[in-house]
Amino acid sequence: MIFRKRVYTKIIFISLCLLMLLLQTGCWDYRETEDRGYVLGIAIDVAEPLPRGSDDLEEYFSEREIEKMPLQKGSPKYAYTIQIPIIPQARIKPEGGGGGAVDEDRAWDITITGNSFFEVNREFATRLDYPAFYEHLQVVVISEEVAREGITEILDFLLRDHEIRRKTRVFITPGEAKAVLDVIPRIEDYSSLYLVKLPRGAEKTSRIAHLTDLGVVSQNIHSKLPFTLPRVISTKDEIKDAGVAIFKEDEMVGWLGEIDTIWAKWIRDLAIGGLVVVDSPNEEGKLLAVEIVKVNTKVRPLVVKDKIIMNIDVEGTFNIIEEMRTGESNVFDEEYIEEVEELIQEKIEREIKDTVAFVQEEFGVDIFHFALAMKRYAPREWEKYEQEWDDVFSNLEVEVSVDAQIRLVGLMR
Amino acid sequence: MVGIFVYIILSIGLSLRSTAMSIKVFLLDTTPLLVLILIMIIPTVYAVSKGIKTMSIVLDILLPIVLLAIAMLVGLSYKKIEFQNLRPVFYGGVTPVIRGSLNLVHPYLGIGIIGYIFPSINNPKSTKKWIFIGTAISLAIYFLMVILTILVFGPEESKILVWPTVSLSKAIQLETELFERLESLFMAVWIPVAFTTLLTFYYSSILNLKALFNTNKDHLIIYGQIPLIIIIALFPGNIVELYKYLNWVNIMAMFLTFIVIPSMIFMTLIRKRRMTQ
Repeated sequence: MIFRKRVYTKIIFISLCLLMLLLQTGCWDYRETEDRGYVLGIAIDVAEPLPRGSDDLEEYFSEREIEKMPLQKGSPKYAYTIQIPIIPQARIKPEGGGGGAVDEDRAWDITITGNSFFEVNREFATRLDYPAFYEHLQVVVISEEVAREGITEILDFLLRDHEIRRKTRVFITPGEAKAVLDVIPRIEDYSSLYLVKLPRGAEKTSRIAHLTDLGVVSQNIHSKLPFTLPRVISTKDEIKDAGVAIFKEDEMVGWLGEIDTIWAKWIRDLAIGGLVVVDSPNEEGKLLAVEIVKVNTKVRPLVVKDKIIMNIDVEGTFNIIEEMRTGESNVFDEEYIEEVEELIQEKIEREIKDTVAFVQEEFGVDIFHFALAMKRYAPREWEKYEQEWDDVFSNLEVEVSVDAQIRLVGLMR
Repeated sequence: MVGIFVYIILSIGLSLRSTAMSIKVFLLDTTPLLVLILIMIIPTVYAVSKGIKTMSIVLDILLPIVLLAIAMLVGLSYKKIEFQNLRPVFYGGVTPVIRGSLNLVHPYLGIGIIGYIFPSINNPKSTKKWIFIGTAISLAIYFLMVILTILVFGPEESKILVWPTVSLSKAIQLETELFERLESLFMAVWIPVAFTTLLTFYYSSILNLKALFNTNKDHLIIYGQIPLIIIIALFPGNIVELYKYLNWVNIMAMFLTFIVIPSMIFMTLIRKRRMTQ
């Protein structure tokens, strides 16, 4: 009797185990990797039909027709484009024979006009047999026209959605944002991957703004600080990332040129690489270039009565990389090095002051985050000036002190 | 006593719900909430029904994994840390700091479990050191998490995020494509953390009920609580409501720690003195 009972329990136990096996086959939210449409980039334009030069007219209009959708509310304001890689096409790279390989599309850029990004996002399902999947989203490109109207409207979904990472990079382009995604890059497979790697060049030159992902944008918008986003321009097969767009609250107010971008980055203590070019100390017209090893900037406010002075302390170490008078002069000389250091200090001081004055005059927008320095180091005075900070910023004075040091001079004396 | 019981059972239910909710948001989109809750509660009940020895072994296994994951999170987010975000320090005095710390009473009451497991400790004197270390570890982790969130996101952004720590793990991405989706790894560690909380609270709830009804029927009490907890967990309609209830629980926790428990200690002291007289 006892024996039989044991056998029963064993049988029940084993069958339970087998039943469990059935449940182990997959989870509720299981989906094959190749069944997803990986969205690599999003481009946001205004919703007017944009002129397209050489396209066949009939084809053009039929495509335009499919890009429209009836909206639940309002009339279309934006044209959203998503980029989805065509995976088998990308794997077989065209062999560079004499035949002149035809540039076939490696990625599919789908455009739909609409108002809410989510509504458009779900409308993509009407044309796309893979569900759009945003975990691997790399870039968001926004056109100038959209940016000037304000970007919170379009960014909210990107920040609220759980699939999209805060590391996604945001770019502003003066032209059509879709054109940037349409670029067929020469080395990379997809324009989005090409574009997302460009800011890594910030180690080489400070003309590229590199700290510009969604998270940073959201932080700045929520702490009511002006911010900058990198400017990209594109040709058929190239993208250039240099200079920045200036944003106040969430509206774009203007462009900052490449050179000013360098010094704005220095002031924000964001410079992680780059160079300074000065005149050679001995001979007129010859140039001397030094490379940044490390730059540290400290901004401290000083409030004297009713006047605010921003003290900008720059400490930098540099290597001499290029001196246009090979063999004629001795770089390996203490006096010469000191002279160069002084030249660099003067140059940096002048440039930083110029940039601040330019921004104060032209935009009156605190892109250097002097407000943060006030908040952190002079909180009592900050409370006094918080309301009229824009006016205060336009009139505040800047003191710059630079300490430059040369470390290496290269391989030649 | 009833207050403590209600507090504990509410916090079990609500923390169960909040864990299930965040799993639903970040990992399992279409899995029903009830399934997630059941998956969490079944192992809890099983471990509890096996007694305190099993529980302590389970917790022992989980602790190093959890600590390692947190250390990893801290290490990986090091690059994004901006120490300036902490400034201005103590601007506006100490009062805002204390007022803010009151919000942590409910999470920190987890150390109250020490009182429940005290009778099971063989050698209370030598355990003193370990109790101290345990409290210090939990204190350090809460401190680290709060500071880290502020250091990375800044104060304004931290106010807005619903799950700052998960957002933090989502914000981490190295130049190399090594940790592309760190948040799934992090969630995989976070679920055991929630499980440990559930486990300990469940255990204390059982002891509470036993004392309250003066029974020794283990099984009845262990399994009898399940429907109650599931009802509590499913009660909040949406996440906003859930956080409203969690806030109530926090107020309750403050009431218990600052009013009820001191008065209970006071009463026992008086009683003891009377006894000696």
